[in-house]
Amino acid sequence: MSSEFLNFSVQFALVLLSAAFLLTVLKVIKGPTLPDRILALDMLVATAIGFIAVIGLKTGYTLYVDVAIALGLVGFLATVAFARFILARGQTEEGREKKRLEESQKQSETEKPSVEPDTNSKVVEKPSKKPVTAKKTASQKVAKTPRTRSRKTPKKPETKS
Amino acid sequence: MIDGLADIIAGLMIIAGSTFAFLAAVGLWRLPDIYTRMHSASKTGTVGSGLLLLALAAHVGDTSTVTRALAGVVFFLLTAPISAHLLAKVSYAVGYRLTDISVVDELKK
Repeated sequence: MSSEFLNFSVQFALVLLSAAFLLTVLKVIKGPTLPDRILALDMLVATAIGFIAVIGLKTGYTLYVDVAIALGLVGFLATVAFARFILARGQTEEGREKKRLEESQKQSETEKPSVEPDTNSKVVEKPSKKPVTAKKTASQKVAKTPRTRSRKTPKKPETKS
Repeated sequence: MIDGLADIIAGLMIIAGSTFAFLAAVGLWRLPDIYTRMHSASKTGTVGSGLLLLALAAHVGDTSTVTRALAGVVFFLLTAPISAHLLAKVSYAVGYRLTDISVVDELKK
């Protein structure tokens, strides 16, 4: 009676795990973004460990539990490596646009009281430019504000790509 | 009798674990967002495979197998949240958005 129940539950579990495996594989194929696919691969490893446990229970090959532990380790390391890869790949288009919008907002906020920070930065820079006369710094001041802006704008894609 | 009890316990754990694994896979499809999908896959999937390993340990009863299965469960419980957290943090930092119906974004600057 009890072994019948166990047999039934093993069959039930195999059917459900197969369905889960299939759904997860389809998610790996279809998943709209890269993190979705990585997540589905992680889930695939978990399902494979469950499969190993059920097969070990059904057939008595408990040696495969070692394989399950090693598989868990490999899956964890793969997920960590993929996460690092996402980070190294850089911003998505949406994130790039969002950050550009945020920075333009920040610039428009800082440009309103822009006179005070500019003079402050001149005071900091002055010791490095001792021989420069006051007139030159004044002319530089005019010339520098667009230069820093123009330097900043091409820098953006550099840091994000 | 005791063997029968162990069989029934193992059977129930197998059914519960495989149901959890299946629901995790369904959640991957049903949920709208990478972060909510992560919540489904990492938590429910971990419970599913952990229950299946525990069922194996309960059924076999051999000391070395029980130890290995428990070690596998502990290892899986330790590593799954770490990898899910890392993936979520990285995908947020890179700019994958939350879904439109999400209520709060605590990481928003």
